[in-house]
Amino acid sequence: MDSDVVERARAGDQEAFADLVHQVSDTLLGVARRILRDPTLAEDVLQNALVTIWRKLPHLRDADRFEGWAFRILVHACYADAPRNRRWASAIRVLHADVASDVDDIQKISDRDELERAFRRLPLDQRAVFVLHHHVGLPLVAVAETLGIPDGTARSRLHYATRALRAAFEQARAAQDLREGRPA
Amino acid sequence: MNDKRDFNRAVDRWLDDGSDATPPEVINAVLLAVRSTPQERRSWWPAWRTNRMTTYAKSIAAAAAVLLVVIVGYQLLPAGPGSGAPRPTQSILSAPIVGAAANGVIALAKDGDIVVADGPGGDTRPLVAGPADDSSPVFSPAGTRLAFVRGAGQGSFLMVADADGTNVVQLTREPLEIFGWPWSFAPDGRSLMTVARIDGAYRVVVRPVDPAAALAVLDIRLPDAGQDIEEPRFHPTNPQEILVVAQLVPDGPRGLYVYDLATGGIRTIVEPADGRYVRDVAWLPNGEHITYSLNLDPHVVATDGSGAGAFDALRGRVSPFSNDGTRIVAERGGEGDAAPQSVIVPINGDGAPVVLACSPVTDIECPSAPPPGWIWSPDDSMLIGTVYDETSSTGEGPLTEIYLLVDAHTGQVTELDWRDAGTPTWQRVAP
Repeated sequence: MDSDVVERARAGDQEAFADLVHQVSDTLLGVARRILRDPTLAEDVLQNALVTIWRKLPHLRDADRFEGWAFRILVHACYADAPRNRRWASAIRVLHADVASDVDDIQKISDRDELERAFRRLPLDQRAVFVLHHHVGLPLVAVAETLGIPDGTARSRLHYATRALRAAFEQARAAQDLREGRPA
Repeated sequence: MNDKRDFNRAVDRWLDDGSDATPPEVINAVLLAVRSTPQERRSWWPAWRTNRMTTYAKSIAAAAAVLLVVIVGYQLLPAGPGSGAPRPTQSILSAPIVGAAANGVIALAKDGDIVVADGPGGDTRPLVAGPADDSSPVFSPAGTRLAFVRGAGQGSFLMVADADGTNVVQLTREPLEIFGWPWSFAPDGRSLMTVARIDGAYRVVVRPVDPAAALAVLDIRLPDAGQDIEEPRFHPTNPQEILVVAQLVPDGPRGLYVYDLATGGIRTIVEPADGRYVRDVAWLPNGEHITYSLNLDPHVVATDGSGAGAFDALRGRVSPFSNDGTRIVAERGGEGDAAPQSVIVPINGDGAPVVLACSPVTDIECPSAPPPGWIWSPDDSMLIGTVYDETSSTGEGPLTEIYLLVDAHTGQVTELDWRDAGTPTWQRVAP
């Protein structure tokens, strides 16, 4: 991240901010998409977050910390705009017959669907820690700093999220084994 | 070790699914908004941080503190009768709480309002509308009351209203982070239950409809967040008993229990054991038996825990029973080259199973296994089920739930035009 561009944007330079948007928007969208599991909503959230970033840029004291600060605003925008209480989160994925052509494909789809379902049931705060750690690649300490939470909180949120996904993954594998007649 | 590696690979594949390129229109919209949005000016040392406050500022601060205390105190008090106690339920609509009933309206959440339709897929009209974000409606068993949640941020409030949307009352003073299901009514309609996050852990909570009563948090340990939490279920006729999958020992296996709300006692239905995974728990509508799937095989057991056994020829996840307790939707087949099918099965063997058959005019594939969230119409002639739009699961399209209508007699499946709505609940009314 070019801190000079951040400085100029912070001083109100709209062209510099446009450069900044082009530099960070894909990364931020990727985070929002993975937390929210809804690309359309993620684009709306990104839009809101970027405008908030513009408004609040003068409050950013250290230009070198821009990226983490932007993640924090984005995650808070996710919290604010996430849909709630989706019921009937179905076990079913509509699947056309030609998509899953062999056992491996079916296994991958099954794994992915179970992970998806389990992830959607996680609270947003656990999702955010998981995505920042596993997708963005931030160390846990950096995740905690980014989100403004204690290290232990970030660790426990990651722990619970990982356990939930792991349990779902093992469930998917056990079900596949049952279908194929393999002993559990 | 291989399992862990497989898991990590699966997570990586899943996380890397799809492109993150920002659409140009999003960027253009941001830059357009920025042109008319002033930046906030930073105030390095605001007045409220100064050590020396003026008398005027002290007065304002004191008044604000008093106001804060009053507000907090009000929030902590239970709701009084003056806050709008619910009216007695009207009897003209009341349905029997067990068995089939006549079909009333269907309530759904739509754009932050609660709307109703006269039938599956029909036009909707507002029932509870306004600026608040309302969702997750659920009718009481007698069909005379409606509960829903009013959410903001990460918490939501429990609301109840009469079935016609009038007399809305807020029952919880503090926002609750509920697990994902709507609240469910006790059979007598006098209390509601859900799972909410309390002090960092998910707990079963029960809230009487009486505004003067308090929220109860049950002292039974739900499975850790690392495992699926099953929806606890009120006994169909006894409001003091709930069916709950619990983990009595931290990190231990899950068992199935009946919890007595009056005494706090528990009765074991399925003993916890390593390798056993209990889910999809439900009461038979008469309350005399309990169904559940054990490692994806449907089972039934008497409510005293005796006579447990598997359903022959059924496998996978199962939906709740029909209201008359005679039929269930389950998965059949799937061995060898045979594709699994969803079938409506008469549990006493009286009659042939009805295979779910998708309409040729829809591009939705028939689900091969029914999720437990499917709901029967009160008269048992239809079911409404949900699948995700294909692109939702891959992360490449919007999260869209598609509602399917199943004719319980023919198995015909059609898609309902309710793509922008969610969480249907069907009102039972007197036949």
